[in-house]
Amino acid sequence: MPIEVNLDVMLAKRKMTLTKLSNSIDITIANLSILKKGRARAIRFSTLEAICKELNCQPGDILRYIPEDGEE
Amino acid sequence: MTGKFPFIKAVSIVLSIVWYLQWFFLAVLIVISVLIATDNSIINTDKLEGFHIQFARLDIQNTASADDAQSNVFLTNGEGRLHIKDAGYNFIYLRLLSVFIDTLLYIFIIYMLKKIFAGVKTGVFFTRQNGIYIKYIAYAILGLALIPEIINYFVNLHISETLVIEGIVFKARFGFDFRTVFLALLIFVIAKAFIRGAELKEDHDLTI
Repeated sequence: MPIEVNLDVMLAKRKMTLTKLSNSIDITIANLSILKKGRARAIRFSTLEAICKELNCQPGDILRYIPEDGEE
Repeated sequence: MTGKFPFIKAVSIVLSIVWYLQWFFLAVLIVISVLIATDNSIINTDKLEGFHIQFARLDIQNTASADDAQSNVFLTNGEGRLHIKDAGYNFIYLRLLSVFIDTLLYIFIIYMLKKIFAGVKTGVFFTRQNGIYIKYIAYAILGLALIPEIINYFVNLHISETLVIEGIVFKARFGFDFRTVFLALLIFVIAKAFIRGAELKEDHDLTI
């Protein structure tokens, strides 16, 4: 998928663990792990909002579009 | 959950019994085929209950009524059992082939049911793979409806072309059980819906 999730980068920048984020935004570690590993099919606005609020960042800091081979 | 357990156990037992019975039946079928092929004297094929035939039309010729008037007499859409003493074994082999295919398809269906049921026992049931198994069952039921009938048609065609009975002309017809085909189509549609449902569930599960 051409959307890359940079949650681990942001967590490292904020010196926060996945467990702590999980506790503060009330989303299970399993689900956050799916998101971090890029296996998620979709992300709710409410989830994105909670992550951005907790990490004090923009959605663009977590998600990045990478064109596939052959795409302009 | 405890209330459901006896039902799950009962279905599991029934599936296992039918599974082993089908394999036993297949083994018996193979033994009979080998016996017929190797030593005809062991099995008296003349005692078989005839061959099931279907005919589109049976013309009875040279009929005469009480006043000696000639009439055109025929039967249509008939079926019955045709008994031929001292017949060649080709018909029997074809019939055995038909039963053999039937048995294999039943074994395949039960195998698929066992796989689906294994998911019920473990609690992982609503998956795309189970939908694919249901689709395979639909194909197998379609095969059950059509393949033996195709073989039967060729047997009947062969009989109608080779068997000469004075005054009677056979015309073979192809007939299949529409209800079985309809059932297969119904299961096919359910399988498609199941697969779509499982995909939606997967999407939902992977939405964070």
